[in-house]
Amino acid sequence: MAEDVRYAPRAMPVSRAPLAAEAGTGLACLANMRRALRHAPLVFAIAIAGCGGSPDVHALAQSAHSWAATADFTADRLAHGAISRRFAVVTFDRVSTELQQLAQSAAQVRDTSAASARDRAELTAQLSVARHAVVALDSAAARDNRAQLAAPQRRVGASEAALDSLASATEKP
Amino acid sequence: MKKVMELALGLITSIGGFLEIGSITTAAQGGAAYTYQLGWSIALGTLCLALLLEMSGRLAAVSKHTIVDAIRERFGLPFSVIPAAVVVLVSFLVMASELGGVSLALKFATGIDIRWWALPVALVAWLLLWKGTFGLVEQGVSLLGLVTLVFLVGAIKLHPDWGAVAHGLVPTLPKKEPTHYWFIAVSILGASISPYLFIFYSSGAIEDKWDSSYLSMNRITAGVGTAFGGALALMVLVGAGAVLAPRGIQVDSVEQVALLLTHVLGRWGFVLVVLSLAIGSFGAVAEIALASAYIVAEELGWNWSEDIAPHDAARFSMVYTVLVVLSSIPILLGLDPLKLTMLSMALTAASLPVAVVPFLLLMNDERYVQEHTNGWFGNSAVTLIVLMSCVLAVVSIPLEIFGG
Repeated sequence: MAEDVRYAPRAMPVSRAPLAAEAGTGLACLANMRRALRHAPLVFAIAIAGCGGSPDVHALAQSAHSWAATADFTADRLAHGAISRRFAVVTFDRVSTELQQLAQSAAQVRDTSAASARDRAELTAQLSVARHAVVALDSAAARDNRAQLAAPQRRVGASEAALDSLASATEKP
Repeated sequence: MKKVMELALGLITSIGGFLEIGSITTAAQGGAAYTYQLGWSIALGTLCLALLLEMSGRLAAVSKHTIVDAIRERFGLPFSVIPAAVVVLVSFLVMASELGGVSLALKFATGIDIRWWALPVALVAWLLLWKGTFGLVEQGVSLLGLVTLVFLVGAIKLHPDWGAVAHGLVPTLPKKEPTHYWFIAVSILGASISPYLFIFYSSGAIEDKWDSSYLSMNRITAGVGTAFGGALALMVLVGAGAVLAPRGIQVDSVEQVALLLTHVLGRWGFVLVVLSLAIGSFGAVAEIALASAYIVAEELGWNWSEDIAPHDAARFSMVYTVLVVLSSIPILLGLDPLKLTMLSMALTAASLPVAVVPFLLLMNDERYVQEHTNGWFGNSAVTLIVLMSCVLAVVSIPLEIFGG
């Protein structure tokens, strides 16, 4: 049964053109828009090419520093009883995951980009700081939560291995 | 006396309902990366939102039309279907990110993965819409949302350099990473000026049966309430600028935002920030689902109201039911709520002209708003801010995605 439209409050009459005809015109408008939008990817590509889009070693190092500081701050807040141990474990899990991804990205940058030796050294140093911070958070959060921490610890192990490999590769001439 | 009560409730709704995952995380990102320098984007977004809310209330009170209803009537279905479709699509992304915000808050409290929370949160939101009234959705959740005042208390206790905060209200060019700076600015603008907000507001005015006697109340609610809400968003930015920026912490995850006030408020700072995230985002899920159902029902001429039984507006109820369920899918698939939030806020900014320009034309049409047409200030300010947001979004979104 059709709904009663009494509730739709209107002071002026609404256009009563047949819905099918209006929808057909609407589809024609959308088709025109689609044709116009075909050129959009080209515009975006030009904008990206103009401003440069290569991987940024500095951004990776900055991100590593940020996660290290997050780990430090979380460990400090936990020590002061300002956050729950459960939340510290959640944060630790996130930091270790991010660190592992950063190590992988760093390895890609090292292998593929024209990063200078100084950039690579900065990156390695920041990742190393991040690793130490995560280990510190690990020991702070782990006291009563060994079982919960198994998965994040495995990730830290994997990221440490990636970092070690990166560090040794960076040291090569 | 009734009007005074309604005014008080309207103000509380504007303040308590302002912050959600979008406004909290974008402001925190801005503060963490650029200290107080992006305060201007919150100020501009708040000004634009206040103007748009006032206009949508004025349109509803004078013409007895919602925005969608009036656009369809004035421009016809072939045109009006385009802004309606764009707003529903972008609002859907925003709703998914808000649902992620509630799930994240529950994860912080329990340690249980967010994917387990997506469907239960969707179910509770749907129950609220199915069983509740417009007043409960609008005012009930916003009353609880007053917990977000913790950001004001926290910012005051942090003793920031208020001179520098005031200086940040004036737009300046970034000293580092310009692409990221503009992307965050656009995301903040998108979080502030979401079209679902003024569409919800105009439909709400019709639900509450506003007439011309509500014009003064509308002006105060939209102006003062939104200004206080924007001030709360600014306090999030101030908190991040004072706590996270000096430590070199960028906001790449919502966990970092949860630490924001633990420095000055201890355990309560953590609990109240997590509660703010949960309540603010939950309110936004309900409001966006309702706003989207309003848009579809009004566009297609269906029966609609949150204050009547679902079987009396079956297709309207079906729309919000389907949307609430669908919005849980991105979180179930494991998408990062923060990335989803940033992208949906930037896309909101990019889509603003499509939603706002037809509305502005209506606000200058005497057949709808009689002698209450827009003044030059409202027209110019909204047009400039919306166009600026759109241009910045179109340039910065691809750069942010493909440039790193």
